[in-house]
Amino acid sequence: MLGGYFGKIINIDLTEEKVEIEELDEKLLKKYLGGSGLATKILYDETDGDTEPLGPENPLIYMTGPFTGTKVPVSGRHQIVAKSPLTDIFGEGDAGGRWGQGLKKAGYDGVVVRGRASKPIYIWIKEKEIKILDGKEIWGLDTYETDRRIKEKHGEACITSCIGPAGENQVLLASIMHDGSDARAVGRCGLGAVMGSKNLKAIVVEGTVATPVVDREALTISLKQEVPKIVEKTKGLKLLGTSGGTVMSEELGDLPIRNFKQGNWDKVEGISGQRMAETILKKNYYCGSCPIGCGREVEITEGAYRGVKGAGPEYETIGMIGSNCLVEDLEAIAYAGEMCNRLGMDTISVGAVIAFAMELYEHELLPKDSLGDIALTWGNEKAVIALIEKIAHKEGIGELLALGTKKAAERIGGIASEFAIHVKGLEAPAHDPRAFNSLAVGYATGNRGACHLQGASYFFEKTATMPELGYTEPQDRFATEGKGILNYHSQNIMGLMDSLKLCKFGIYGGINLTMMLEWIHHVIGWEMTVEELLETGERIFNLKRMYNVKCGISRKDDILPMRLLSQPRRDTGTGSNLAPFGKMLNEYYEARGWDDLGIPTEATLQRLQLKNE
Amino acid sequence: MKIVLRLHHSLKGKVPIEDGILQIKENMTVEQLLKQLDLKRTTVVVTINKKILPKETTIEENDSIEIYPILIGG
Repeated sequence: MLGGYFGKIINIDLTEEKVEIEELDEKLLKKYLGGSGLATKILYDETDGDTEPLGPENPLIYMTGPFTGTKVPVSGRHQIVAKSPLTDIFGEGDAGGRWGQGLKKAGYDGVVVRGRASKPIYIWIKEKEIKILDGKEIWGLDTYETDRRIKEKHGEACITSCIGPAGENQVLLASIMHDGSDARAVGRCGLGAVMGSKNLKAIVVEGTVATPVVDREALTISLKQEVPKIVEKTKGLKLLGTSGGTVMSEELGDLPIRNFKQGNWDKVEGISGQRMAETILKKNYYCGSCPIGCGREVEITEGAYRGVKGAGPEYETIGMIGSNCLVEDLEAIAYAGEMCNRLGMDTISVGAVIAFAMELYEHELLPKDSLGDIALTWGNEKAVIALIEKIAHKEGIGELLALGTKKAAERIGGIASEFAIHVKGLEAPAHDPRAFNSLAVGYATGNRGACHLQGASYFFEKTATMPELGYTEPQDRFATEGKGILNYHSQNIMGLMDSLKLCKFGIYGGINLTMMLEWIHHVIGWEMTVEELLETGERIFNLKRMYNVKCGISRKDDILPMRLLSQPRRDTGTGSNLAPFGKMLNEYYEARGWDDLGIPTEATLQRLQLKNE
Repeated sequence: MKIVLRLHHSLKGKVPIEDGILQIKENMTVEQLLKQLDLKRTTVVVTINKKILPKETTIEENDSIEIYPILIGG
């Protein structure tokens, strides 16, 4: 018996109103594992450079991993993959929460939605009962209210993945949200717009089926040994959440400030995780099977932003909507974050596009009649809040900003692209490659664009280790040598974690390749070696790259915005540091087995068994 | 006055004392304690009797202090 998987995905064609169950074979599962890997294989097979991201031919692929639904720590996650309408290349996002476990409890590994419904609908999955239901009554509602209404109708046990008004309006920054006001987001790449283009408001899951585990006893023994260590090592995340590092990030020169232009900022303490813990924090939030509990639950009961209740702002929200726009009021950031959650938008891209607009405003480059009475000055929290609403509804200036920084800059023309901080159309998140050299290559080569999680190499330049690869101590963040190779390894590992479905914070908890192999053995029943596991991660990364090659991506696109490449922060953390990009990129291409154009060579494809994909 | 100090394992060896009972001056704040331990305030989180309190908080006799490293990420 194979554990971990049910070996079944649900194929739903909304145009034909057809539901089919597809059986998966073990060979395919072993080659791509699940989650990100398996979903990428489906996208790769079905679409290419000509596929219209908002057309019915773009599949929206939800995929769990073999660990989802088990007690393996930090495994309560799922992946969503589609061609991105924001970047027009490979798109994906990963979320925690409970939806992935909910789908496994219904007895399935994944759901692939194709086609387009003729009217708003939602999908209901309760074990053998799979229905396409009328979504008229929930269309137009925000994500918290959608979740509440669905629970009212179907009961408290169901778990909802849905879009808000932004997704319905096909805003290119739209997210897909989960678990109501716990607000676990698949934020990046505008996948909420893909869902909206299908007239699909929500996918609701429920069930009581247990995910099979081959050797439950051995898994229990392993977890009894490892989980307490993970809890101890990640106590800082539990106490302060992801925003606990905000002040340290500013000190290191990592925190984006004023659209990545400014070095230091003396207001940073006021928006930190420490301040949150002292003021609006109510309790921790734990995703499914997570012993860390880095999520924040906050409440604001008085003042201008009273009424905020639920998921608190993560570090990324604080960095992008806070310091990157010079907003210094933590409660305003929490309010803006909740707005994004309810409207269903990525707080990273929203913060980036507003900072972009603020800089355009400073240089008088925005169309004068597009703003109404909004004074888009740095730090103006009211303007930020007004803009979030406008973007979600594509009103006034919001129609332009709903395109994201790259496309908005192209439409404005002139020097506007100077202020668009993105790679391949995806806005850079709240970590700065001038503070961690390896991030320069990571952002430039991330398959979904500028992303700190596709490689998370900066983990290994600060705290984390990966002994099996020789990283027994954290690396020097300003060193150049070996950083291309570090990205090669870390991207492969993160792809594995996105496919098995493990939260990357597990690395801070000490989760390493040996542990992954042990759990694969106990859960699935496979004997794999470190080399085989790493090769699988490499295969998954390269398949995404090959997809992007089909979309016209090559070396010319593996580049950073000039601001990050050529302008030092001149702060106390980084001084005049600029990542020596070309040298690291060449080392990276060589490690990857790509040619000078950044395309995997025949030999590489052959080695990774991708030749005939 | 005495307090009870617990250090995260990764901090052991970086500070000049061990877990356990520690004698400190009266009216010492969290910030002053960290300075005495040669720990950078922005790199650690401190709990006093399991609560996170502002750095200006004055430590009292028999308080239980725990110190953990902050992790960057997210």
